[in-house]
Amino acid sequence: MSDDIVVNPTDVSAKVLDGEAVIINLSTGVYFSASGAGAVAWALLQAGHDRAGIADGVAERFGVPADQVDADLGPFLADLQTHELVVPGRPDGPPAEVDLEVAGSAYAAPLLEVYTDMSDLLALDPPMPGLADIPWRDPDTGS
Amino acid sequence: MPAFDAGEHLSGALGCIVGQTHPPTEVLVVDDGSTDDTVAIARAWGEPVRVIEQPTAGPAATRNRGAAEAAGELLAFLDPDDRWLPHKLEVQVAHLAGDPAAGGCVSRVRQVWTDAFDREAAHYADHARMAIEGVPGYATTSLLVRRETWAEVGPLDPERWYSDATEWFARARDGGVRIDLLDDVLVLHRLHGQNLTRRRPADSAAEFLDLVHGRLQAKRAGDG
Repeated sequence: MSDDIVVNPTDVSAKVLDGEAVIINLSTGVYFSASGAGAVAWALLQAGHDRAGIADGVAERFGVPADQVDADLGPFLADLQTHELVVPGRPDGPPAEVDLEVAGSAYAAPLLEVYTDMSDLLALDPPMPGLADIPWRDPDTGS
Repeated sequence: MPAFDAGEHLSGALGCIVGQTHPPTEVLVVDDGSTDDTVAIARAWGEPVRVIEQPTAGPAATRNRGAAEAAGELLAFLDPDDRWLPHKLEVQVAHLAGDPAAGGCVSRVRQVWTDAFDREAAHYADHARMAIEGVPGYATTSLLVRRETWAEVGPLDPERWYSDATEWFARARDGGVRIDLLDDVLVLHRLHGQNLTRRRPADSAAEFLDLVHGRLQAKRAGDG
């Protein structure tokens, strides 16, 4: 796969909560979790880092060699692509600052956990982040 | 029916309720502090429409109020900007009558785009979940639920403005309550500029992420 990937801008809603990356694919209703190095990797990816930047960031955070992290990142990033959480592309600008203290201290290869138990429940009413730029009247403000 | 500044859509919604092939015994409009003519329009309908007014408390609290005030054995909800197809209640009432073990049922829902949202329709034309004829309607607007099931599962979480129904259906499922999905498309979900789930996408996304995060934590607690 290409090393140039970005978070799927239309179908994915995600946030790192309590050291865990929580990710929803709004197109399928499947949701995902990544902890530890996976949470850090996702945070770096979401901040606009490329694969090398992610590997460096994770290596720095956990004090392990970057080449080991890079090897571990391959299957993780492939999983993200399989589930269409990332798409080919390059970030618009320089990467944003990331709080690397989001996860615990022990390093383990990043792992994407997949959950399908809510997919039917999320079919109708998920938020749609790609539509944020559509202006609409807000009844609270009339604007 | 929970209503907030719903004057534009209210009469159409009430019309499709009273025009059901299996009409409801009562129709409650709970006005959540509207500033428009919602209350006047609802009152003008007369029987069987009854109007309840309350200070703005949010959509989930408003639906809960309606459920609490309703007298019937079966509860249904309709948001003013959605529409029931004429046989919605008839099909669902028959389903529950034929299957006493089912606590409730939802139907498939057809998304209807308004002209103003042509751009949105084009954007999602190939979207996997939008392309199918009817989307699984796990929303209050397609639900018919037994009163005792509603009491067993508990009310909607009033703190949730966007994900109240999703959380309720998940809670029901976790509690072993069966809410059947009927294959029929019985509800039209109209998408326009004031849909709550798209009015504030950031707030909405945060709520759904919080909901999923809570379920992940609950799974781990259960596994542990």
